[in-house]
Amino acid sequence: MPMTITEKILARVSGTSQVKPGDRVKVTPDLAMWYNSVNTEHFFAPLERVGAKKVADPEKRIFFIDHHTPVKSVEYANVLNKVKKMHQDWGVRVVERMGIGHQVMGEMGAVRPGMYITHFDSAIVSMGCLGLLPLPTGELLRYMVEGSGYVTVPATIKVVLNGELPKGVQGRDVWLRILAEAGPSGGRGRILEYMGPGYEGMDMDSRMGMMNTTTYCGAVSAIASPDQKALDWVDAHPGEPYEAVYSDPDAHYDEEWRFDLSGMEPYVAIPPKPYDARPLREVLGTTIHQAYLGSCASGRVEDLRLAAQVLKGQQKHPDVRVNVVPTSNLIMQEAAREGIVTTLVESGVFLSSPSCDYCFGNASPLGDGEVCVSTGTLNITGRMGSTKAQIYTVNAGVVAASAIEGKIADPRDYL
Amino acid sequence: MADWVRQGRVAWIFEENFVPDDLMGADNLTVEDPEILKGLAMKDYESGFAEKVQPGDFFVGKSNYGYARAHAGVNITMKALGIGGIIADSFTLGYPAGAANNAYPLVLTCPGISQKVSRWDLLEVDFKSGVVKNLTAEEIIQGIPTPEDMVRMIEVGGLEADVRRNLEAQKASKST
Repeated sequence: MPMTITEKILARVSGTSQVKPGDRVKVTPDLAMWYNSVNTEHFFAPLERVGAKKVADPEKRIFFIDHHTPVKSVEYANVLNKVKKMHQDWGVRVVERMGIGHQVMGEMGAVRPGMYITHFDSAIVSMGCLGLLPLPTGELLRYMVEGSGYVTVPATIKVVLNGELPKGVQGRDVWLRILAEAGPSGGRGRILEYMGPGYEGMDMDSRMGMMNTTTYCGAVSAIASPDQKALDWVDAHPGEPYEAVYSDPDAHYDEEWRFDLSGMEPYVAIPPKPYDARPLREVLGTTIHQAYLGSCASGRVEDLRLAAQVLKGQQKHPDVRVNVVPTSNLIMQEAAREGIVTTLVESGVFLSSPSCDYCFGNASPLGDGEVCVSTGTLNITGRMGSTKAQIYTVNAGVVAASAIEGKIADPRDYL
Repeated sequence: MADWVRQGRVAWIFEENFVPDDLMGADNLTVEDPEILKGLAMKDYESGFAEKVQPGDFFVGKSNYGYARAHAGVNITMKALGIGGIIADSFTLGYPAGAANNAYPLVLTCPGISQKVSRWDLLEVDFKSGVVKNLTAEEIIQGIPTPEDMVRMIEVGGLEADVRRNLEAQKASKST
């Protein structure tokens, strides 16, 4: 029976030759990852409570230290040292301060086409564009201790993109447009598989930005059969040999969604609902107090490049705090080589080394009544500080244009 | 051992895509005191809700119940109210898994339930087999049975208890 890429990967990791949507299968992930979350000690306490002295398959585990970066208190420094020691004792790789794990796992060659990877954070879905299956889990403890767990094989929605993205419009906007049509439950329980000339035309950074918040439409993940562009990206980040997996041409899809990217405009997610996506023009002119470019949903070279094009020769508005945070150390290096860092700093932005902290208000939090444009992952109440602040999530160009004007602005006016 | 067959009334029928944090409201996401949360429960829906609910009553949801990550106060609020379980047309993928991890609340996916019950109807729900009896309307509705691995996990007390049991069983088999 023909299968999708998702079904093929789940069949392999469940030790069978065939699976179909709805099957409940026991799977062993090729890689499981986690990070130092907000309550790091609380997060690891269950391991002690269950009596686990070691982690299953430690060579297939990575612990990223990307939150609380840099550490801001002695108390947390002590907690983190304890947790790092735990991982070192287990033989788990610890990757500290190299960038956001959801990006770094690709850059370090740890994830390869055909793999099944898991994490407690749904943002790993970004990596689906490498032709692998990222499935977030609520049972990380089980994978850490036992090495395997159960999942339900999801049905697949075919998402066909046609046309070419106009200037100043990114994968982020494509996703928000899809979300505007799908709503919070349009993809419920299923996986989105992207394809079509519009998808093939998008660069890898845009694809990652598009897939990052897939779960907001209720879908479990996103994926694509790897094209040459994806394989080139993988091969540029050396790792273990791999065997790419592709959907069969006659595979069954639960539904088909089609979108034309040509003539598209920037989109925005209106606070406080992450799925309340609308064309940007509906909120142009809204006064802002902070602008943030970064996170695992943006902050890649394409995003920084677009922001630099908008900000070139301009100064940020005097009343706006502007935080630009490249997603990884490698991205920051590339931005420096291309002169992007110089352009951004000359325009007056605050440029930080990679960190997750700006996205969840652990750095530069919003005060009461403030408004922020953000490329972060979420716009819910209290996400970036005060519960009396508002967050509009947008593409990187919108952050840059808004930083100049002090109000929500259209980047296409600067390109 | 979980009590899989339960009787209770329909305490509320929520809208589609219900966000559990809305039980106590966005300004109270860090509150974890059961008595305070009981007073805050459903404040944006109906005043005096806690006084109307009886231990064992159910919540009913439309499609996609459980949108967005729920804060700790949500389960504390439901326990303070005595909510006996949630039956919904559908849940987000993560919600039943999270509930099984905590062995609370019991949840049942039952397509069409929101249209087939009214507030304060008395239900008898078998959360394992998926059978819902509406004792008020005298109607039986078949939901989707809970997967066996989740049943095992809930019966032992949730994810931590399940992993601990498996680990102990593994150690015992090695020592024999």
